[in-house]
Amino acid sequence: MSQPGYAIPRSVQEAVETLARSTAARPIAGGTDLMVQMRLGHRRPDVVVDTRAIEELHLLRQGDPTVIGAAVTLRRFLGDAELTGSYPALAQAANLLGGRQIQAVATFGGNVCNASPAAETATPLLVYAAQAVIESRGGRREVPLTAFFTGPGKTVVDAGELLVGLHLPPPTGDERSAYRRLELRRSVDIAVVSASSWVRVVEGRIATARVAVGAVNAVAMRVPAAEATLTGVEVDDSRAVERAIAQAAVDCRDASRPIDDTRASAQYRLAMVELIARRALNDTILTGAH
Amino acid sequence: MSGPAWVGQGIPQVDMLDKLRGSTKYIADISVSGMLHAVIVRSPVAHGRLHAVDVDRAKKVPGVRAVLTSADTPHRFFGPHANDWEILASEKVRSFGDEIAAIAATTLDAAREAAALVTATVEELPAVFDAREALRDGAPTVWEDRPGNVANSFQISRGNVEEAFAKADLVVTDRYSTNQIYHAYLEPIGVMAEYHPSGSYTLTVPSHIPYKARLTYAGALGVRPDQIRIVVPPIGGSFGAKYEMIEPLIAAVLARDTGRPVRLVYDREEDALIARSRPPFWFHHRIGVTAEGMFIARETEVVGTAGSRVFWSPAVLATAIHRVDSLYNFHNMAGTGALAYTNEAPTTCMRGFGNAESLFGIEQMIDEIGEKLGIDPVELRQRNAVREGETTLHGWHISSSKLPECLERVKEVSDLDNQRRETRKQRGLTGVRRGIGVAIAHHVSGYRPILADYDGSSAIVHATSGGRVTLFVGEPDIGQGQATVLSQLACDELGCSPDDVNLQGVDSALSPDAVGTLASRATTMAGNAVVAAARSARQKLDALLADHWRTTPDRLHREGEVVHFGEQSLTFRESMALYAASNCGLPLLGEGVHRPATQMPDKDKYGNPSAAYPFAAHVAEVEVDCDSGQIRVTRYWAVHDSGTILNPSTARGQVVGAIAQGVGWALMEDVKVDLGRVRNPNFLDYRIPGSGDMPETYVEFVDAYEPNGPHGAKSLAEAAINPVTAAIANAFHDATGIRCHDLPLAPERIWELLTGARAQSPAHDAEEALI
Repeated sequence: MSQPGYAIPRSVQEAVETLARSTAARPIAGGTDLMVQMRLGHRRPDVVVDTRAIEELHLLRQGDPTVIGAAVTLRRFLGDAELTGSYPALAQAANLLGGRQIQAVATFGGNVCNASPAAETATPLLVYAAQAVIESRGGRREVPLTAFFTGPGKTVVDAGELLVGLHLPPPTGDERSAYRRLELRRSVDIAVVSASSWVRVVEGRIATARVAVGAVNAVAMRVPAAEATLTGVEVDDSRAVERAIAQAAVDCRDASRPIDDTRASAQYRLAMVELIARRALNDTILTGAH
Repeated sequence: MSGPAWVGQGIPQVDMLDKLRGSTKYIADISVSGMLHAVIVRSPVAHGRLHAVDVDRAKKVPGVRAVLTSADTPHRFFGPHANDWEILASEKVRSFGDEIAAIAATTLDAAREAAALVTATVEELPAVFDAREALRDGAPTVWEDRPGNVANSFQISRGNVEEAFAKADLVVTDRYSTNQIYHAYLEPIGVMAEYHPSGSYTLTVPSHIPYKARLTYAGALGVRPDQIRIVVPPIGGSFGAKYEMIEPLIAAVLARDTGRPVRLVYDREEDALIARSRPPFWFHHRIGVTAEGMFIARETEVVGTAGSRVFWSPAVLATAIHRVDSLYNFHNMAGTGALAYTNEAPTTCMRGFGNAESLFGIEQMIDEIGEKLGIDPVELRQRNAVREGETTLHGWHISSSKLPECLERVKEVSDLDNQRRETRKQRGLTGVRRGIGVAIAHHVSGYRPILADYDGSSAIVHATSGGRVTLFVGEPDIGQGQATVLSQLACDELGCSPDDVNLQGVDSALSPDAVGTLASRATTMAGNAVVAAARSARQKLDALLADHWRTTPDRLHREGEVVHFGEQSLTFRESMALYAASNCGLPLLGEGVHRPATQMPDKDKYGNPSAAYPFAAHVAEVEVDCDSGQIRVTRYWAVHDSGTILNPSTARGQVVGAIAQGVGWALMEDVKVDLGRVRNPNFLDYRIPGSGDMPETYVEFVDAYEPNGPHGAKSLAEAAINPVTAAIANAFHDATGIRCHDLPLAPERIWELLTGARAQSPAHDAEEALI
């Protein structure tokens, strides 16, 4: 039960050097997941690498690409009207993650690297086609978020690597998106199931659709079948839209392989992922959250 | 003297600033020189024969001062209700929480490291995890000397229930179950023990029945009760969980072995893992009614979980079976119940104490009776409620009741009739449905059989030359605002201000012996005693002042903190300086004894165990998302008869807190146990309501006066939670037409009920789902 070492690197370079020295090193930012896991003995890092002194990890700017540094807190993002306006599903999700105290310290990097299948920011980042920027001593690589999560608590970030930030395509102005989750209480809870959707409407038709679901598989994931169902649908044809939404929601259910746990049974999760996906799609296409 | 200056004022709690600033010293904040930290090693199995516990490696960890097993303890069986407690397990372990070794070390880390090195040789035995199964033939036996696993049973009957049922025009029968609830107090359990070379102990323990607990602890340690000094620190909530606990004894044997003070403090996970929760109950109720809607018979059968040993569940069981007869007059009743030993954590009492559990079903059945007979639910309750002045089936004397007024008022303020007309029109199984429901409740203000020697209460008032007043009572403050209310009562007698008053924490070396703070008794009992003590002190002071002014006490006139005689006057502080100076420095002392007008129930439970009975009528409004099963309580109205309200602000706080706790119980709280292991020992997955789950609440106290209470006051805390789950369940029924028989009404259960109901009424399929 020895105390782990604590390092405070000032640059990405210094951080990856430190991380490379041990396979049991673990980066920390807000610590809202890691500290709990360490206290419960679920993770036992030998050195904790504090990433908050690294300037690059605090980058937050809209552009091409939009950059969200790994150490950017949810609250900081939520305070940026331009970004929350451009990425409303991410804002809705971030606003539901934890309470205000948690949001003040929890970071985007922490939320995705913790790789909970229920992670709030995972499904919106998936539908915004985020790329993870990962650095090691060997250099920098970009991994699409669709290939980032490898299992509960697991990602492609290897020992010696550091998530520097997330790159999102810039908003084009003809897209709409929304996030929905099901929770067991109305204040500070984790999702029992979650869904995000994003569509780009060109000349009255859904040109591109992205749908992602959370807490119904080992990883948060996109649902290509649902996306195919939605593509090409004429948005002013309300019957066609309703039919497509209903089918896409069923596609989400069909793609889900949930588990039974203390929060919900697999059966309930299956029913709810269809409902929540439908609600997210309704918000996106019919209510037009953005 | 004019009206009371302090009683009736909504002054803030006297200890609120300390709590807000974090300067209140709970056990975890108390550290004494040489103190060791304790950690408990628990059973690796739910049920097993314990052959050996190997502590050799643990003893070698640097900093470890003691690693004890059963062999190092006085090794006897004891307990508050059955002799089934041991300080450390000897021959068998009967739940995962059972303690098999205890470690004391100079640091918590060392103690934990040692704990991980203790190994037990255990022969695993078949286990039983459901009370109903435990009572069946062939179930694994938890205690060899209790074949059949019956931990406790209770029977009671009045009148002739079968004859009455035969005469009934309508008989409703149903089953209801209430679940396992964690008390979720803010402060996890923590204790400190010191052993003195004289052979005595000082136990700092957040018990709110310290004198009763001391008897249990003395029996366990093999000492006389007076060899244990119990000091009660500030208590960060309990709701019934911290009555009598095993932890002080474990700390005590470690302290004796090491000769050093030992502190044992749980973190949240450990506290929730071993939580002695509200016992789950399975009820079968039968109620017989005449066509005019008059109740004539009630029958109740209950099975409940005691767990691996018996804490306070027997008293909860008895309450669940017969207390409701002092809310409604059923004229004839029969009740039976059994508590089963299982291989789970022991259960114990929680706010509401069986009464809340029983009302969850009964209050739903009363709505059902109303629906079947076409009688308005409020009217049906009015017809059958026990009235002021009546003596109930079990001999309980209702000295005051404004329940009829509470019901009328809650109906009025919630606009119940109009609301229900609307909700009935919209009832359905799809989309979002609104519903409104009513439930009533009562409780006691103390319960005499708990510690028959000390029914009532006594108090000492101590005032110094500087005008500092200290109150000594045997009823600990558990965070409910008792210090504030007792201060207010004392101030009106003494003519001082609450700023001058402290409530001494209960300390058996200083405080009066007492039953303690339970059964909603402290305001009524300790309140009367404090009034009597403060009055006796004031009489001494008045005698002195009369002497000083060469007059008689009846010519003195008090106004706030000033005593007047003609043109002359003295403030409280000045008069106290005079008192001390005239008595060679002696503080002003007042003694008060309150003997309530109760009657000890006989062996058939006939008698009047409480001096006063509070009443409440609640209305809940809910919104049901039929697609997801989520229920939201949108508005809530609570109207209470608690007699005179001594402090409207703390009283309102009690009711709002009870509604929050009730909303949690009704909608989300549930200890999930899988093969004897608690799966949600944290606040992520043991959900208690947050601000977003709280409805808009309306709280009102009707004008009332209880002749047996201080200034006309009676209890409040438990009456306020008792109707909540039923009011919410009745509102859910109003919204959907579905009865929920089990707690909690959590989304998945509600979704299953709605899915099942939709499957049976295909008409609903055609309805367009609201999104």
